[in-house]
Amino acid sequence: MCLIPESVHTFLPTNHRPEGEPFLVVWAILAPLPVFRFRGPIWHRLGLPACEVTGKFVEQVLLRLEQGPRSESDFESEGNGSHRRFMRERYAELGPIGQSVIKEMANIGLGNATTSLAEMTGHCFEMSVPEATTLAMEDLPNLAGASEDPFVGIYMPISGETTGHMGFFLSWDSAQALWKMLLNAAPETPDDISEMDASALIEVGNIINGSFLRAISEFSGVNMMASPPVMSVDMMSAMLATMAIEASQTHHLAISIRTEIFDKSSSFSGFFVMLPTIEGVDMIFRNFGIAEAS
Amino acid sequence: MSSPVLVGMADIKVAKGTGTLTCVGLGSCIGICAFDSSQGIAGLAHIMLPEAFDKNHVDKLGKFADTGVPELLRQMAELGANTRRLQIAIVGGAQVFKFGTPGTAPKMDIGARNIEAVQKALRDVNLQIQAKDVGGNLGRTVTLDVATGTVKVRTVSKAEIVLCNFKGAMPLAA
Repeated sequence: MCLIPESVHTFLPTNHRPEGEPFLVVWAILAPLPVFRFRGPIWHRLGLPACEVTGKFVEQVLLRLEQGPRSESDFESEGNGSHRRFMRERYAELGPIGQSVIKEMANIGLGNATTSLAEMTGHCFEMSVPEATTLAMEDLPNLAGASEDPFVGIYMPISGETTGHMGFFLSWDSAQALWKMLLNAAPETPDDISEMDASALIEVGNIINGSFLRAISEFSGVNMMASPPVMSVDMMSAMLATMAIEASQTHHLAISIRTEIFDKSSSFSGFFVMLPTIEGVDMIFRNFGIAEAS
Repeated sequence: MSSPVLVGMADIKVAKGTGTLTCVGLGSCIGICAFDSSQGIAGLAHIMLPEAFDKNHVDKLGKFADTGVPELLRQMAELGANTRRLQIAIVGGAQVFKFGTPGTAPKMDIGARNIEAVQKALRDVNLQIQAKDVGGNLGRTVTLDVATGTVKVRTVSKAEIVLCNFKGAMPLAA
């Protein structure tokens, strides 16, 4: 074990960190440290010995933080727009390691979810390697390409020590496949959804969102709970926009984690979106002993 | 005809003569369609929230009802529209997440608040709403045809309807 939070504390430069978004990057990288600590073998899948991964990616974090904003005008010219662009560039810069960390977290969280789902349905599920992206709140509705196709969305606000929003979305075809597994029958159209149908899918969303949240909660030590889920069957972008609006009322960041869950007979795919608050990210940060982050 | 101009969240788009403006997937957002039939100038604003938290730091004027309406009028006036004679239609403000445990579900009344704020902002500039399709549980897509002044609304489960025609009669004026 070559890293303890205190060592991060010592190295962390405080002057260059721009307000807002870049928190996400730092959080995304630091939060899963306990993942490594408790579940070392997982890192072998990345093809690197655990210690080396840790050393390298901490180095990456420090490097990125030290570089700070590329120029003052990056932040002053167009307000939030530039912040966001900057965040995206920065995220992209982090490259494979930063992404791997988020993916790994998603892997564990959603892996648990898949297991629960299998227990619930009695079917065997497989999960693809999650893809993770950060994006600007206003771009959130376009995540599925400004789609008007009906999707099923299960949305849950996060409460507890920090707040946030998360949602699991699946296409209408995927939802029908799930209904057939759970209830042996599926409603023909969104208008035919019975109370039973709705509650079955809400439960699935509850399990998927809840498992993911539990995973992050355990790893970061920040107590987060899911509020009762709500569901909708509507245009993809209308649901994502609604979520973005709920989150826009306070300062939030958007991370989308997309993963496919497969069943042997009828494949369906879903994706998962999480919008943490800046304060929440900050809190996770502090839990790692990085006081200057606040 | 050229492809429709997409008006994203917090955006405002204006056009003169021809073209189509559209907001895809309005959930609790509101699309404000404005039209000056004498000049053939149309505008569409995609409002996200009722009011600006801090009027001095608004990143996008089109985000809020109270800043978005004046900005829409300004942009249309720039194209030569007579902003005192604009015809208005509003669409959206739904509560999309309708299934859930009653009472325990989060209070998601932002759609209703948006409707109220947009109506107030329009009253403040003395503009009357000629047609509206607001509230309910369905996400909507609105398109405004600049040449004909037709406002159409689409939802997932229902056929597309013509909400109103700014140049002719108003079949569904609310």
